[in-house]
Amino acid sequence: MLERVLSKWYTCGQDPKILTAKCRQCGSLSFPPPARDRSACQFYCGDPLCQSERWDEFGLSSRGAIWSFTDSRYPPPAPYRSPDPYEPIVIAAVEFPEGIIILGQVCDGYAVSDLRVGMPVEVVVEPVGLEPGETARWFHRWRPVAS
Amino acid sequence: MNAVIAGVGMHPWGKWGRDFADYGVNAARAALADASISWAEVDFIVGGETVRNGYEGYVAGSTFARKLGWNGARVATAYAACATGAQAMDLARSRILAGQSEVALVVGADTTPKGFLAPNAGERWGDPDWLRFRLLGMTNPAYFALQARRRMEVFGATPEDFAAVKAKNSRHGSANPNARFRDEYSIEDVLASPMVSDPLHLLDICSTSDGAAAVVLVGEEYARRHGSRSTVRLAAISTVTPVFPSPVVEMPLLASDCAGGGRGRDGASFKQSLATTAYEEAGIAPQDVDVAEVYDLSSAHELDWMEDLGLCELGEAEHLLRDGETSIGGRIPVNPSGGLGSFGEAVPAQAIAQVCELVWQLQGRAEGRQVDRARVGIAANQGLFGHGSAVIVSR
Repeated sequence: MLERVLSKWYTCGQDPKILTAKCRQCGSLSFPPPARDRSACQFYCGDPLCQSERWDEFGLSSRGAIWSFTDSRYPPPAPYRSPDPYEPIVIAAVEFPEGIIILGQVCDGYAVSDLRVGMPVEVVVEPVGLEPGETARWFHRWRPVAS
Repeated sequence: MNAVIAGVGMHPWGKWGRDFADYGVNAARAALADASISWAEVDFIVGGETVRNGYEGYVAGSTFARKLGWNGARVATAYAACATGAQAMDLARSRILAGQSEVALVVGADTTPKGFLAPNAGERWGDPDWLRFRLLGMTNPAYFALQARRRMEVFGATPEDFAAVKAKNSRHGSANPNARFRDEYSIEDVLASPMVSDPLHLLDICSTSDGAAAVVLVGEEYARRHGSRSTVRLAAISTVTPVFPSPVVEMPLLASDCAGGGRGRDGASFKQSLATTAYEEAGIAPQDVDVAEVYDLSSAHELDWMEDLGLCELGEAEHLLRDGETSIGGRIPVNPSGGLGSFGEAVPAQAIAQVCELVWQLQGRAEGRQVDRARVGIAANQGLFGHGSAVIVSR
């Protein structure tokens, strides 16, 4: 199930991008994009003056800037799968040049003290929450880059 | 035509571990006694739903009515996360203003588990509240901390300011017999408590509590006929949703809105929309407010709310705090009850508890924490996904 949902959230490979739904009529962006599942209710533009049902997949820039950041010093509750021993997760809200803010974890090896608002980060898509016997799951993270 | 708040009552907040309905009935009976109105006279009861106590909680209005003794009243139950109580009061007020009810009782009560609030069990890949835990480990305090850090960046707030909010509210709450935490904390105490989500410490973040609150609403005609002692009116209840595009990432979403045509995120936040509508409905301006009870999920929230409610200009909240203007005795006392920092969250009860405090303040009955000559009070609350409530009471 996870594979099916998240494979529509990113492009993978050398230059991974976060995929948003771009309204074909007014250009609004939304994330996560709707599942392309014909049985489910589909996209409706969130602008009440638009409400179009037509959208296109739209990849965001591969870099954004930190809007705010924090960490979680205590293990989050289930359904989060904390590794044992727990290492505090670092989280950043990242603003993309297109104008949308998206939440994500910062790559391993960074602490809050390494971050500042406005710092550029690049999108990486990497496996998360792997447990023995499970297939790979992919999720976005932020990697700080030199400005 | 207005609804009059004829009586208010609370069950003290704590971690008692008893059934939520016990607390609710206790608060309801206190409010009825305060109004000198018998339960038999109540023709409409509204319960604030609790989602952590099984079916009795899902049908809270009916549960309270049954526990008080079936009296034939009409019943409703409302849920809006932390804004539950405001929607419940709005239902009661609407029936009274429509002439369909004379005496309405509104009750909210909760029994809460320890620790972080977590999503309901199950796998829901389309539910942002489930996804934020599953994929990101985004707890509520992490959302609070993102806003707090942003405030530091934009307005120059400091962790000492956040701690000073807690210190002030603990001083206020120490005089409140219904508060769970009665100890006074210093700025140093807060900064020395464990970091939960940088920059917020354990003592910056409100805990979860058991507790209950209730109000009795009557029509003005009924109040006159029965010689109601209370003259406090429910001047406005605002539950408006914001207008797209909301400018920030609201808990528990994974992303902000983003409008097309280069507008990006230029909308008012839900908190600003709530306040604007409440003032319009009450026919007053922010300058008319004497006392405010705002939703301090974290100490940093209080500073945001002061600006969202128009109690000061953007970026001024820290200055008012540092000058003591938000303490009792200052220009605009905020959270004289001690706020959630002194109470903890009892979700369906807290918007009602804020109104209880404002009524006591306007009636001059807030012993040990009285705001001088308070005539107008505002309360504000945050639900989930970017909605909430603002309530104005006046005398």
